[in-house]
Amino acid sequence: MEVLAKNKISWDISDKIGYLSFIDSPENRMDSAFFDELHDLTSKVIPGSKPSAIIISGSGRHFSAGADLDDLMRMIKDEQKEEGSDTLLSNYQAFKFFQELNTPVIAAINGVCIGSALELAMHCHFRLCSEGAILGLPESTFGLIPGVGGIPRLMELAGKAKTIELVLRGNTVNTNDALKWNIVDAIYPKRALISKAEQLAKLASINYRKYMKTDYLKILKTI
Amino acid sequence: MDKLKIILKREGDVGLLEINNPPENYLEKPDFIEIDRLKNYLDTGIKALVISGTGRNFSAGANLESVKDQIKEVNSFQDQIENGNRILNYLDQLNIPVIASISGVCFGAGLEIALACDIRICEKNALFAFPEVNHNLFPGLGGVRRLTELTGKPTALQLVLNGDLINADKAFELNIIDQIAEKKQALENAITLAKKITNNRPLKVINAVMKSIHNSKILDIDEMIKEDAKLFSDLAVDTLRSDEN
Repeated sequence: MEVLAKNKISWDISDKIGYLSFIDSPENRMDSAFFDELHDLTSKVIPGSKPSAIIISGSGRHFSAGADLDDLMRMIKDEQKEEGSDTLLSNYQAFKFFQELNTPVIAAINGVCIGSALELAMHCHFRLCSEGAILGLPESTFGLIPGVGGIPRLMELAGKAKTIELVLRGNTVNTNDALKWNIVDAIYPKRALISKAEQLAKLASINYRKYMKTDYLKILKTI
Repeated sequence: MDKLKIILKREGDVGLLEINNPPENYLEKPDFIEIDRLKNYLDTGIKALVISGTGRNFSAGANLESVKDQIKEVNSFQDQIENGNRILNYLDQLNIPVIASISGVCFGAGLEIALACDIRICEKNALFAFPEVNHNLFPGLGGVRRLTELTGKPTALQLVLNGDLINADKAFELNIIDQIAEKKQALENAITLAKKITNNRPLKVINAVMKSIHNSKILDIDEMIKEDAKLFSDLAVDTLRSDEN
C-alpha cells in the first residue's frame, strides 16, 4: 500500500484500486492549492501508478462544496484575459483526465457536492451517492456560470430542459431528483457507499467498457 | 399573418407569445410572425418566453386549404418556407429560455414551433403528430432534424413517415415532452417555471447560460470549454467591477 497525502488530496492504492480522497474537511474546498495538487496527481502520479479503477470521495461528512469563489475571483482578476481564463481551462484538463481514462472512475458522493465538485463528479464514469446527499450548480446565484464543463456534461446526462432549470435556478437537488434526472446512477445507505463503490470498481475494472454502463449497475444491484 | 393572430404580451419579465387563431389555431403562413416585431418585443428586457395557443389547442399547424393556394405561387411559397425556417432558427438560438405550453392538438408546423423551444410542457390530453406525409409533404421548418435530436433516428422516421398520432404519455416517453401538466395547467406551469428560473437573475447571466447550452450542441468540447471560460470570465470581471463600486 502506498499513501500519498498532501494538504488537500490523498492518493492511495489498495488492491489495485486507486483512492482519491479530498482531505480538507469539512468542506473539502477546491481552491488553488487543491487544483495544484490535482494537477500534480493527474499529470504524474496517477498515470505512473496504473490503478485498475479509481474511487473519488470526500473525507468527513461531505464530498466537496466546490470552488473557493474568492480564490477563483482573485485569480481571474490577476489574469483579466479577454480570451478566457487559463485557470478554468487548466482545471478542466484535470477533470477531463478522469473522463478519458480507460479505467473506470467512480465518484462516491456523500453529503454536499456542489459547483465544481459536481462538475468533477460528472466527468467520472459512475456517480454513486449516499442517502441525504445534496447536489447542485449554484454558480448563477453568484452571477456566474458553471465554467468547468458542467453545462455540456449536464446536457448529456439530464437533457436541455433540466439543465436550464438546474443551472438557472441554482438550487440544490436531493438524491431522488438527481437519480430521476440521470445525474447520479444509484443511491445507497451512507455506510454502504464505499463498499458499493469498491464492488463496482472490481466489477468494472475487468473488461472495462466491454459492457454498457447500465449492465454494471444492474449487476451491482444483485450483489 | 396579421398581428391579431399572434399576440405578444408580458407578465413581468416573462414574455407570452400566443397563437391566436382559435379553435385550431391554424398557422396561415409558414412565416407566422414578422421577425423584427419579435426582436423588438424581446428587446424590452424579456428574460424568458412562453409560447402557447389561444383556447383549447396549441396549433393544428398549417391550414391545408391555404397552403394549396400558396403553393400555386411556387417562388413566393419557397420564400415563406425559408422565412419560417429563419424564425424557428431564431427562436431555437435565442439566449433566453423559450418554453412551449401545449394543450390540445400540436400538429405539423405547430409541432415544429414547439420543437424549436428549449422546454416543452404539455397537458395530459395533448396530441402530437406530423401529418404532412398524408398530403405527400414533410415537415419543412426543421422539424425532422429537431425531432431526430430528441428521439433518435428510428422513432423520428416512424413519426414522420407514418404520420402517427401520439398522446402526452407517449411523447414524454419518447423524450419529445419534458413535463406533463394536469388539464388546463400547462400555461400556469410554464409561466411559474419561467419565473422560477429567471427571477433574480440578471439578463447577462441568463444569456451566458443559454449561450453555453446552445454551444454544447454545435461546438466540439474543447472549443465549448474555451467559450465557457470566456463567458465565465466576462461575468466574473463584471462582478468584480460591481464589488469595487
